Amino acid sequence: MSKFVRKFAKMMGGFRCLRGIGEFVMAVCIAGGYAVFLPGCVEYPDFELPDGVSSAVIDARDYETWVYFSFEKGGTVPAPEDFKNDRGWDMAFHRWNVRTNGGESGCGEGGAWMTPASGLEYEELYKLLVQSVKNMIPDGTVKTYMKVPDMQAAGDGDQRVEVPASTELARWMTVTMSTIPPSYNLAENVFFVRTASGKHAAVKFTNYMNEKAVKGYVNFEYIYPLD
Amino acid sequence: MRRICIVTGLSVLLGWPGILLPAAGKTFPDRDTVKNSVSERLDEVVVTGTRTRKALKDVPVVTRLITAEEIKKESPRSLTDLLETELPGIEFTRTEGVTNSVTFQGLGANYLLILVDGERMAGETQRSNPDFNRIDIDDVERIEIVKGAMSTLYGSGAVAGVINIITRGARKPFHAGAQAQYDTEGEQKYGANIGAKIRRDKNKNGAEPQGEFSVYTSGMANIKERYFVEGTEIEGFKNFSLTQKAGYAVHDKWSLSAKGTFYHHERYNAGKAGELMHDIYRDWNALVKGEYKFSPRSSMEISYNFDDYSKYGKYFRLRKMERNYKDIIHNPKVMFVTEAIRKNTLIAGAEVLDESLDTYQFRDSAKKSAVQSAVFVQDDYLINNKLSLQAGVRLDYHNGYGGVHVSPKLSAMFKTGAWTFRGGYAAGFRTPTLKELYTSWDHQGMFILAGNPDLKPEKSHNLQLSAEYTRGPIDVSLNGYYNHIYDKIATIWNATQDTSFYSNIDHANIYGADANIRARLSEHFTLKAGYAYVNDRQMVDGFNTSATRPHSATLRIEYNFNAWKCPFTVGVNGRYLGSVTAYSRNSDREEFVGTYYEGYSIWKITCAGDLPRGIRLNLGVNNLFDYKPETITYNAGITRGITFFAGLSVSIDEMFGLCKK
Repeated sequence: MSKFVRKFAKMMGGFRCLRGIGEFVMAVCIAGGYAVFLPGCVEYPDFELPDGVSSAVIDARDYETWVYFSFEKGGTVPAPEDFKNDRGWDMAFHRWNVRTNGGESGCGEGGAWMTPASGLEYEELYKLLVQSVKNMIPDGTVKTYMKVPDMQAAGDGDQRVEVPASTELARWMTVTMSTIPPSYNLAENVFFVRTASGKHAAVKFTNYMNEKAVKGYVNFEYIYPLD
Repeated sequence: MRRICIVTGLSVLLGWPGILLPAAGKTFPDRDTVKNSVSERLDEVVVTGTRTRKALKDVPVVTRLITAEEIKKESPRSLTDLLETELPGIEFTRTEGVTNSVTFQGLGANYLLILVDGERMAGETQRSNPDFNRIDIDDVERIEIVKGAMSTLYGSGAVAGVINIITRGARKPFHAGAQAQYDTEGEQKYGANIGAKIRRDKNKNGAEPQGEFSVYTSGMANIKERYFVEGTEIEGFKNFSLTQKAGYAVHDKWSLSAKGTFYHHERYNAGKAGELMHDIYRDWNALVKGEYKFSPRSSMEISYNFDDYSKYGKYFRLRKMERNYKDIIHNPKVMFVTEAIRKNTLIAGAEVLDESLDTYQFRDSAKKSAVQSAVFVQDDYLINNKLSLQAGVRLDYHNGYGGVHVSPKLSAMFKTGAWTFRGGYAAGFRTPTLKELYTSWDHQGMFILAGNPDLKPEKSHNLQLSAEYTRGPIDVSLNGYYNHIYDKIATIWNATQDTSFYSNIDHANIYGADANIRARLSEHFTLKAGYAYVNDRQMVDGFNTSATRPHSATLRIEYNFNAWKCPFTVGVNGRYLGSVTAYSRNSDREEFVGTYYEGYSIWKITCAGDLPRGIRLNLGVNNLFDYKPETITYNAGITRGITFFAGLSVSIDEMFGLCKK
């Protein structure tokens, strides 16, 4: 019996290098454990709008068209055939240009004013609106590209054209093209926007990209109606 | 999700005792020895220059070594920090995105091969730089820098040189450590490692083969919140990496090793994008290696390197991650080394490099791939005690451009007295990247950047000559080089000026010289200084268009002393970068406008001390004189003014007196 045990022990001794391989495999398996579990550890911040505040994201990337928005509908509306004689929209967007339905842009009572306030708080903004309702500025005109700019023709004259738009809402975004990449600065201020029918909304522009950070999307949060 | 993280942590912790239990009571000599004097340093074994183990003084190509001891004393904050401190002629500049951009001896990342443990990294991020954040500087054992073209041994990209970063592994029967670091810019770094190396001795009747098993785990996390300097936002990040190594050797006959690394980097994108998403960079790396010794003089090594580098968008509002870039390399290799022929060291090998890239910048976002196969042979012939010759050739075949590309090399080393001269010719090449071959990227309707599948590799002729003088505590070296790069890939416009595409139309002549001195001035003082000159004037109509700074210099003065019976090192580092004016055509493409990049110097002071019981303390001040670039351009120094930092590391095995010899 003892002979057998000795023989067995000797044999096992011979296999001790296999134990090393076993440990090696085990160590590799630990690494495999990481592979399965590690990528799971990703957390996302939460986004919640305060009560009474809505938000919208408008795809304004196209150089050739405007996108129309209605506060009453709470979203975009089809582009009217004759925007100047249509009261079914309140704001319109093209690249970084914005229109309200009034003045040069429309037949409504639209207009806008940049307030000194920076937070979307109903009480405070309502008080401000009562004092400043006469400050609303109707649309005028701005110069903008209505076609993809032709970089090769640069220097051959201004490719921009004059179009009806809000000069006041133009202040929401300042683009500096002299840096690489261009820098985009958003106004911290809340804007009052008067709708086609003469009601008021408080609008705060929050971003110029979509949820995947693609540029050319106007993001804003708003309180409507503010009256 | 948190639970999963904890489960992973536990599985790692539980796995460890299983490995360690058989180790109890075994001891193993500690091979960490402090090497201070210059001559001992020249006996350090390096591997990069010849792909065989050779003492630094016997390597026939110009090799710069940064030892573990130097890394320890300099307390670098990152890999880029260390390289900038040590090498004049290297410069890291900012790029948009995750990583910095490197230039070395006037050449960019495309022409500099950066290896980790002798293996390529996937990635090819901005301007073809690897993601330097992948390297945990606290886990680096040593760095070998070989100057000059090394394409014969390493293939594509080794035009200006090779930087081989060798990572740490198990060094003792048991060791464990942890470290923490903090700086006044708000960066925090934490790391931990644990390793075991177990030797199985012969049993009494000698029948059992002798074996050695080793296992090593190291992990690192660093975090920096975003902050503002004078209205400019400095991005933050979260960085994490984990490495697992295992090795098994039997009887000095054969050995097997495996390494796995996971890396995760979350960029806290600046500005409004940062409110919507973060960029995520991830890498999975696996390396398996086997070595078999036919005889004490001949061996064979087989290895397989897999690296998967991906980029994701982490979109907060969509609550999901989406991959938008995936670069994968498979790199099997086989190499045979023999010293069986008298006075010769012959190596012969073959490798396959299979790369695939999946990016939105390709047409239809299709995945593109390329396979490159190569065979190489190199012989090192020791003619007599003074003179040795090295000759090699490599044949590459690329499935894209076809044909066989030949990269020869011939160099010599001559030693006389305290002098060593090295010199030679080497051909270098760089395969067109998958981006250069296949990009089809519409730049917002304004123009298209188009790849060119007919591209040929860029080629270079490299001449190198160096002299090194070593006597007593002084080591001085002078090194000159000349690079002629032809069939260089550049973008050109088509006739209608709406598409810019890549073509082999350019060439460049770059030459330069550097001088390095290392001297132990007294028992306490050590001096290291380096100066590099590079002429990379890229003339167009009589104007220099290159932004490479011609002059750069580094200086380190080190004071070693004992306080309370503990060794301390105080080091002062300086780094100077000369000014340069680079011209480019103005937006009307009519006349040249010069941009002046000011010269500057950055100083740093560090203090490192080994306290009793395995405690080690680092303190330092970066950018001592509070240098801030006047204008922030890509070529300006990456600094935000003076920064203080402090670090603490603890070695558990030393603390409890475990495993002392």
